[in-house]
Amino acid sequence: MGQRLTEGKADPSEVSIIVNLSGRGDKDVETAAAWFDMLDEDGNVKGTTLSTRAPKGPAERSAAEEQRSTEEQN
Amino acid sequence: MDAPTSKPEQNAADAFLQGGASLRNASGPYFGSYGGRWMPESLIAALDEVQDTFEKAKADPEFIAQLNDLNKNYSGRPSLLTEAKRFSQHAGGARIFLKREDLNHTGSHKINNVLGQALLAKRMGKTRVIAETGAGQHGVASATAAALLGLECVVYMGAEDCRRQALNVARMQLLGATVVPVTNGSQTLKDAINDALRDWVTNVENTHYLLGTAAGAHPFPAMVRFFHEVIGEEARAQILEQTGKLPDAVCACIGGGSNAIGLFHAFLDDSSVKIYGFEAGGDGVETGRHAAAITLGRPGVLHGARSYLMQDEDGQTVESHSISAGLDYPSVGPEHSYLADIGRVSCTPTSPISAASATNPSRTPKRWTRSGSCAALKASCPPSSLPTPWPAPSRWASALPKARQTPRRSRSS
Amino acid sequence: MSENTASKAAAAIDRAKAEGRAALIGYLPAGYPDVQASIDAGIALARNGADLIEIGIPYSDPVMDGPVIQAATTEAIANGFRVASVFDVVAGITAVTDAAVLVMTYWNPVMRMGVDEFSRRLAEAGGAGLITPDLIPDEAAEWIEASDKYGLDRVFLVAPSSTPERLEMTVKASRGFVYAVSIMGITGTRQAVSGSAEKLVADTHAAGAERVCVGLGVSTPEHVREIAAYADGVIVGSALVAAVRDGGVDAVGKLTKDLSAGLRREPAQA
Repeated sequence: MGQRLTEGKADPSEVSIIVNLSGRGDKDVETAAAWFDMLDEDGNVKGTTLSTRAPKGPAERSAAEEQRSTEEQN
Repeated sequence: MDAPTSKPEQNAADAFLQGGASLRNASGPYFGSYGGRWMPESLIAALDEVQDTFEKAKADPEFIAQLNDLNKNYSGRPSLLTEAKRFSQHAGGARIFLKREDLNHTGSHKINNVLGQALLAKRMGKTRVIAETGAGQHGVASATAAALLGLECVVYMGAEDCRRQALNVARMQLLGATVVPVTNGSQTLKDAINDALRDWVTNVENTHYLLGTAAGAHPFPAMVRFFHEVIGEEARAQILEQTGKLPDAVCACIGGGSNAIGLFHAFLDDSSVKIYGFEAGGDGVETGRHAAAITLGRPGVLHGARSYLMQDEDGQTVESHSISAGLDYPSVGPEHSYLADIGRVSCTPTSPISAASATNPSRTPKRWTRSGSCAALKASCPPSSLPTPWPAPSRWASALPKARQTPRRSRSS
Repeated sequence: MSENTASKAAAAIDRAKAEGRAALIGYLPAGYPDVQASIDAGIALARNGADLIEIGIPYSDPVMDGPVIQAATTEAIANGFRVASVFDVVAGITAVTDAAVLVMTYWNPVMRMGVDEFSRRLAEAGGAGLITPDLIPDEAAEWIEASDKYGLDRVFLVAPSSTPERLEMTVKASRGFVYAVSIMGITGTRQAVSGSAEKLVADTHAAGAERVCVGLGVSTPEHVREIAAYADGVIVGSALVAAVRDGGVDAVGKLTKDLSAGLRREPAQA
């Protein structure tokens, strides 16, 4: 858009454009990280165990622990 | 998906301006042939009540003072207008100014409308507000305003969006709101709105529906725009102060179109200012998986307004797709349909696919189309080393979050 | 209410009235579970006591419908339902029964086909008219013109929240009957019929409506009996859809028979 608007202008810096930055974009971080090929298959930042997914809540954690202890018993 | 419908001749807006008429402050219910109230009779009385309360409040200095005070001392307005100096080299040397709605409390423009409507809810004596949310920005803003003003808050959110934006769900819950995951239909924003409307028609006596975008039945499009007009008014004054003249162009992303109409409104009558709206191109407009309602939809009615709508040949709503959660809405605010028809606003879908083939300089430059979502988002995070090699579309597809790769039921033909 | 001697819905209600009872109106979605089955279910409705039949067009965004109807219409669409099939369903039922068959539809599918085209094809199929849950008379200029042209009934809705001015305006715009929504809410079975229904029917009659039928949340013979005492017709939806789901055509026939037992205005023992 900037290129189109500045086409043929002797001084392109005379052209100004306002872009509305509607929000912070936290919601899009995972998408952007994926775009820049920064994530592995599990959604972790490559080479780390840092996940872009939400941390497990208490209910999920206890369910996971229960499953693990059941598996151990068996 | 239907072939694009032809737009009326592009000089209509110029004629409009030359005739001395203003495009500002259109009060609804109609914007050209768009807008209206395509709603169940059960909700008409509530819409009348909202309209009446809104119009009285708008003319009440006390209400305006209260709103201005919240904007200043709660949201943190005015938001900054920041020049992105290093970004100019990607924009042909043009100076790029970012209107920083991200700096508002709760992190987006949504708070402007939410505070206004929550105050109206109090004026109407409602004790409960409901809202829909896509990515969670409007839900978080609604939960925040409800906490501020002591209102009960219920937020409807597509089950898929709840999973993808779990942190925002937690945030709303921490603010005291109830989040209802919506499992009907396509489980996305439009279905969240359906469920919110079902709640509203059932609980209208004590409940206000805090609709988050400039769409829906009258008075919502005109009212939501009114609360967001502050964006454009500030930006216009700020750019005059910083550059001494009006901008050559203003632009914003359009999902339902609330941030866009808020910015555009102040510039509608400035005929020298070009106005651009960017719709979500999703996986590419050729794929049918996008949210470019104005560019590729045709007029229809959804959620109470006649507007451009993504629909199949039976009039069933086609699911929208956007890489940016939050732009995923298959229709658009009716005023945007009108402004696009008369040529005052130019709308372009942006997607990685079209970016890959955009070798013709007359087409939208790559910079602006790379992520298929919000132009503003891109402008906010220019890459540190230049030039950045853009991933090929095939790699983009494989890099998408998993849920997005699953083919979803689509009636698009 | 604009009068038209050709109103099929009015004629069906008047026939019931002549028998000293309210009319029974049964709702079924077109194409659920498939087109032929919905025709068979409609015929079973008519043969077991329904005077009018309301055929719903499955739509992607049914904001006035509760879970039962939503599930059925979603399934119909998933099974490949096309809007034009609704004319086959209407024709299939009117070919073999005397029931007046109305189509209930959200407005966008009609708008997409073209209001005139849709109306012409509905009239050709023998349909009586349209019930329009998300179209108010204020937005209905095109439909009013087309329904006059093709002699179709226009059934608009009134709600407990409707103002006297809106009641009067809606009554004037309607033909056939006026659909009184018994409760502020969406379709679905409920324990009891709301007390607001009787007042709304009285107000709608007072606003000039000759025929007022009550729907939303009506599911049992007891509900039917209660409403038949003051309304010209009783509309049953979700309960019949659940019958199709759980027991097919036979279950629809049986439920219709049970419901129609409640129609007589005089209690049985009198």
